[in-house]
Amino acid sequence: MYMIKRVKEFGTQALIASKEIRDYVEKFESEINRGISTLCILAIINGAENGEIHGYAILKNLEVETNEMLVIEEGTLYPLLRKLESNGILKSERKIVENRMRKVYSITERGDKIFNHISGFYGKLTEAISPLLDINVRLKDNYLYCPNCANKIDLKEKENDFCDMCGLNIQELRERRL
Amino acid sequence: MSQKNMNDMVKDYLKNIKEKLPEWLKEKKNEFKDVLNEIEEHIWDKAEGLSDSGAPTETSVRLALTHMGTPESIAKEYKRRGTPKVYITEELWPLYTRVLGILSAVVIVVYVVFMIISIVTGNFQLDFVGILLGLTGVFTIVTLVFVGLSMEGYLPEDLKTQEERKKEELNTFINPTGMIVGAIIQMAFGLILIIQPNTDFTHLIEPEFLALLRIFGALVITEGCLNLIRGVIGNQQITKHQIIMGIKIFLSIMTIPLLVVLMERPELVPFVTFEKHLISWFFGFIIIMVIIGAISDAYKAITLEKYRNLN
Repeated sequence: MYMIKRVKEFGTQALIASKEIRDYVEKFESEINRGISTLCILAIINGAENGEIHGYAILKNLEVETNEMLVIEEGTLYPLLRKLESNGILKSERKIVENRMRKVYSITERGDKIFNHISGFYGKLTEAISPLLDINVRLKDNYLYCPNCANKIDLKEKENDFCDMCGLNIQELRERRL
Repeated sequence: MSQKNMNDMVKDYLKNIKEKLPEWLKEKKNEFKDVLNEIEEHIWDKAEGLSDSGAPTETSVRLALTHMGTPESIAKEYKRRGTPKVYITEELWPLYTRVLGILSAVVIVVYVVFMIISIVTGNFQLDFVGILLGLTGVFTIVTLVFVGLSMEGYLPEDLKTQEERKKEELNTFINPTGMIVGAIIQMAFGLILIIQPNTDFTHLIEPEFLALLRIFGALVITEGCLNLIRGVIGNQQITKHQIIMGIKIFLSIMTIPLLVVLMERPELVPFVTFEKHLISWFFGFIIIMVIIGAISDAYKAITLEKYRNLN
């Protein structure tokens, strides 16, 4: 899950030769990655064909989509999926996929709304902090971000005059964007 | 390498995970089985994916197991539940304070009862060591238990019995049929205590003990009647249930003077050849159980509130 953990060989003068610094960086990366991995896993499930996908495929897609940048320890995926399921964000069922009985996961209606909010919040946050880190982030135009709670609202989806998450009237904003 | 050897590698790995998973998960048998099945499926999928031929090999299985991570790290993720708060998770904190409060109350009540008894018997001695030890003991044990539960990732719902979960799902707090049957048996027992039909047997017993049994029988019948009413009311009218439970608590407290009499005069107890002080201690223990029962009933009566809006 952590970049620094992948670095197996380094010179004696390297900063991470110091255990203290290596531990600090690893911990920092771990803290940042924890929330992001959950968000990416939800994004993969949300974008899956028929909206359902099994655990192994989630990890394969995660590797491909993030250019192997976000690689999680495989065994830790299942506790995470279970937690999301017990929180009512995911649901699962056993069915035959690729000639094998597997447990497939899909996002619940409630989970979909929560995912929209979290991805909206993360998008707006990344955009907002990008000047500080001297990076360039540009959010896509086909979404509207609720000015009140940063909920991500797909402009292509059927009209809804209120933000799902905070209930703000977004009719005027939507019309202006369209 | 044979399929058997590969199976053994996976089996050993799963066995290792099984041992390290938290107890709350092991108690949920279906979920526990499901967790292990899913991990096993993943290992074989991964081993296939890593093999050039598309069929698992010794190397690909070994590599797949490495990718899965150590059994400890998997188990650790299952234990990572709840929000940390001073070593006890935020989720367990209300239960922790409640248990601590109830047990501390029990210690205090038991102490007060013994004080009253010692005043009545003329052996009164002001001593705070006992209560201090009791409260410290309760605090230490309860805190250690809850720190342990937090570290294992327990949540309050994991501590509920299957029966409690079922009741919550059905929004029921009593089993009316069971309660009615129990009440009838209770009333019959109380009636026997009052009538005392077997004279061949009763003449061997002290008249004072028989009188105590009659009073006890009257209390049992009254409690039986109250339970019968609760059973007939069923899972509705929360206030009536709470009032009846209040009366029941009063009735159970009424048994304490009877038990104090027996504690003071153990020679009244028939057919028991134990040392008298042992009999006294036995009734002292029963008094404590009655008090704990009364506190537990009071707690149940209060928690009935949660069903008010559901029914």
